[in-house]
Amino acid sequence: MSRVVAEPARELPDSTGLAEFLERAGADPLPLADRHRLVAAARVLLEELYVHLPLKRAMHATDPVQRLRLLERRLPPLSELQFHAELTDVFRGLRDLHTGYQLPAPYRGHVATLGFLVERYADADGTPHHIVSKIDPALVHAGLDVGAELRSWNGVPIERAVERNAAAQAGSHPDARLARGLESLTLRPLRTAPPPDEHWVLLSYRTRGGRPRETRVPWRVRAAEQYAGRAQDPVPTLATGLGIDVGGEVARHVKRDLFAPSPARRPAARTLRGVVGHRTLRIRGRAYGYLRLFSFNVAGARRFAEHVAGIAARAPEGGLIVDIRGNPGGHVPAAEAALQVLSPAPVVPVSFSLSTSRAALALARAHPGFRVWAASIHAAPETGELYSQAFPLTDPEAVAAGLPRHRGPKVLVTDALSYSAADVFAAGFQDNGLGPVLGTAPRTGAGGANVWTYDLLRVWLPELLGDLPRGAGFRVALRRATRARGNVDVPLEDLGVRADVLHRLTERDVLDRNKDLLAAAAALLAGDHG
Amino acid sequence: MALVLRGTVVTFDSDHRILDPGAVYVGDDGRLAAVRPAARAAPAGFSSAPVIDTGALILPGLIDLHNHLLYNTLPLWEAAGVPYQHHDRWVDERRPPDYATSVTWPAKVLGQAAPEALLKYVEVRALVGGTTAVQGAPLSTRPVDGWLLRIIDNEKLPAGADMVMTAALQLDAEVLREDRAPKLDGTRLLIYHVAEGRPGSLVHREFEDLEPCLRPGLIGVHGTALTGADFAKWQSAVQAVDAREKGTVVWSPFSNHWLYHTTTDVVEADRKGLRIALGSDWSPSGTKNVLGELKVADAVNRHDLGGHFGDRELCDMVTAHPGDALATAWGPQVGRLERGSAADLLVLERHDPARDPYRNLIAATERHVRLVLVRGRPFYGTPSLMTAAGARDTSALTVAGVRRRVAVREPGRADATLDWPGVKRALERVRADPVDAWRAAQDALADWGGPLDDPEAPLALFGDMPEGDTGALAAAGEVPLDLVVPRLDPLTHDSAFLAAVARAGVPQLQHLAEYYA
Repeated sequence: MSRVVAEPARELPDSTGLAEFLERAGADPLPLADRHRLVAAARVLLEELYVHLPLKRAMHATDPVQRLRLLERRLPPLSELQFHAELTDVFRGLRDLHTGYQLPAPYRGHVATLGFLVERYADADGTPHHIVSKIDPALVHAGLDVGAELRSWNGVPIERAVERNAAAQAGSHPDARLARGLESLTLRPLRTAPPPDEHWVLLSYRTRGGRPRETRVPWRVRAAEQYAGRAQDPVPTLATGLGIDVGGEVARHVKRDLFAPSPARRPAARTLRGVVGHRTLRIRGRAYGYLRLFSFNVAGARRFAEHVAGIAARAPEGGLIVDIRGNPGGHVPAAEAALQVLSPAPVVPVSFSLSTSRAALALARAHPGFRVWAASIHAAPETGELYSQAFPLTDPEAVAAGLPRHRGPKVLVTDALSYSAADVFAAGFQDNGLGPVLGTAPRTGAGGANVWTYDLLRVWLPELLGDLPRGAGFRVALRRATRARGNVDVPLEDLGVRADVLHRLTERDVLDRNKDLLAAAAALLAGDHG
Repeated sequence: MALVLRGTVVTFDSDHRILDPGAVYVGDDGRLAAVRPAARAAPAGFSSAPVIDTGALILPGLIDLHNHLLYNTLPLWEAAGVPYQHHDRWVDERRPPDYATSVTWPAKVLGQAAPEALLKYVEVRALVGGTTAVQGAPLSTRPVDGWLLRIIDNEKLPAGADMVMTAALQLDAEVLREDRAPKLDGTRLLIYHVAEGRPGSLVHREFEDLEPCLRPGLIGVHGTALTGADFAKWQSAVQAVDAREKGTVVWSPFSNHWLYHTTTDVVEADRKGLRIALGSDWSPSGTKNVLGELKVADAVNRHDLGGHFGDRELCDMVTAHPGDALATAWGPQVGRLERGSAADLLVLERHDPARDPYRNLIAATERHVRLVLVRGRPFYGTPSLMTAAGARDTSALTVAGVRRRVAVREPGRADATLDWPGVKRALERVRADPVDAWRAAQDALADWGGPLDDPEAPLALFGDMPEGDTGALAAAGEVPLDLVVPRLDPLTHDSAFLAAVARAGVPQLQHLAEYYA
């Protein structure tokens, strides 16, 4: 039986067609010399400063440096998009969302989107379902609306399509890749990966009423962040204490723009109110505080800790549910300072170490803030150590000094997209015994590093790192994080934080504000009392 | 614009000619078209150029080969633990006034909350001492190439390339051997802090690490722990590469005596053939400008070195010597007045007509600086000379009790929008509430997700000196809530400065007050 293929009647607001965007991008390709500069810079970064290189070589059997050498030889015949795709793929092979190539203008600051989101839940027997959970009102058509269940994607069964997309993601373990694969079905930050190959997607789905339908939805491109009228990254170029998945933060911003309440009622994405939400929940007759930490991408640790402490102080006695699902990370000291005010006792922070390469030593010598790391890097040729001694980035107790501490029971909710500074937060929560960790995936995203931009590294290593063309860049995991207390020296990268209790999302979770998940969290808190 | 200055021209050329009266012909290209006796005809193209009879000494602009500009709004740091053994000791000074509180935090906050104003303030401070080129650029998110004078670290001469490498913190021996040394190929410079401490202290090993870099183009700063044998080895290594070349050591006697109660053995360095240049060093332990440092050098020379150096040789240390050292990397000569050299000029009052021009320079104070031109453009001077030289958009200021004008605003540059009152206001705003200013700056930096070389990107400056005990808060992007930024250090060697020197009681520094009496 043939069915009519629908199309949205309207376009996604404030967006450009993918074909038009690519035509503009292709009109002024990068000269060959610029490509060489980019590949050479990537080699220096990965060989000299990338702290996880030994781990990644072992765990993922990858040799990015050799791949870059080969890419250098094969540059001339590559098209513009092929070049970006090849360089991106070298980094993707690292399975590290911190460390990546950042495409130049005009990709910088833009995102390709289909205008809706897909979430996944499983029946009790494990049968997966892929549901449209959010959609821009302009694209609602032919029953493609919240609650529609996807069946196939460009003719590929949806489960397999998600698997394929997951395999192409940089997440460090299967759960993280699956979560990213699901998200990137409909949302692709162009700063961190080239545009989709297909210009539109053919979807088969069942409407919420159960009718089978098909539609063709075009990819559109829109700006992720505007500053002074220009598109740019929503993550600071200059910060030294970051642990963040930039692509995840871009996705967060775009999701807010597309699907959150109207701008007039929405705080800016990086204000304290933009990254922290809270409310009181009533579950089975009891009141609980609900603290939603959407991101740690803030400017200062102290103000963040003050804000969190103020919310926690007002939480009901039943306990506090702290939810960091989808949190792509951000300012590590802010995450650790927040943890400090949520703990009745001082929290031991995670520690960080550098590679023991010559460039790492040059950085440790040039940057006064790296002074403590210099001695062990200097000694490495004799000690044979791959990593420097590990030290905390900061003293979160000092940062949060004088702030009230939350002493009631707590539970932490995580998922496979809780990444980097959120991994650090979860590790501190677990290692310091703040409460149980309830995961919608077995592990957090497993990003265990402090990440720096190429631009920032150049301030202290100008002799090593040259100019890059057209605002292209790199981010690199510079200092790796290892855990504290009972998990001392255990790295976060690739391992993440294992949930104490697993809760697989249900249909009610996806479509009805996480009802079952929050009930599970409340049950854990009640258990604390019991 | 083309300009002719007449006066007593102290050329510092290879014959050290003094043309009295003489004339310097400043071309539109920022170079000297001619330097000749006033009676001789003007070169082609200058027939309609304005002529200024200065009635004063015309000298090369002074060159300060050792500084750390980020810190130059701060007063002298009267540390409790002097004399220190070496440069790693005072960094950890925790007795009040401790290092981090006195130096690191205030500079850090000003460098990020008011970077443009800070740079202008410290440049003006150098200008009022007749300086036209200064070393010691802060680390920064984009190169600060000097709004008012040449910042040696970032100056792009001759071919638009930055040929000067610098390091105030010591590099690893392997980096020196395998990276920096090969770059010293006769076209580049390395300005490097080495062996800063008392003789016999462990910092001497830094000189051993530096051995592969003992080549033409190395400018060693301090070297207070070096011996005559070390200087001989240095010079011999340089001449083994090029027999015409000299090693350069930068002498900062005030700072050395302030922190270590000793200084570089410049007599031995001179005897072994090295070239000696002066640097005023940063304001927490240095003089306000290299004109002040010249007096310290003079006093030490007379009282401790037995007058080893003549007046002319002392003056060479702030002109010809640093100019020759920079010539390895720079095209137009600085520090010497001759045809083709940079039009970086100092017009100085001949305040003591009975003495020769060199003694007049040594004894001059900020009051005697009448005009400073950089790249042929007037930036600082008396109102009449600034007007005559065609300066525009100037601000008034009072320096050591005399009226001067300064041109800090640069139309057409987005990063030079402040005038002199605006500079001071911006810095005072930070002083008034440093924590709030810091947080506002951090917010602005956190908002920027674009490339740092974008002209719209926020500028941030970072220190090139050790930080001391700031770890916990600094890495978190926070500052102490009780932070105090000291009052802006005055531009001149004023009574407060001389009082601090007197309190320190270091004998070698007590003569400085005599020059400012």
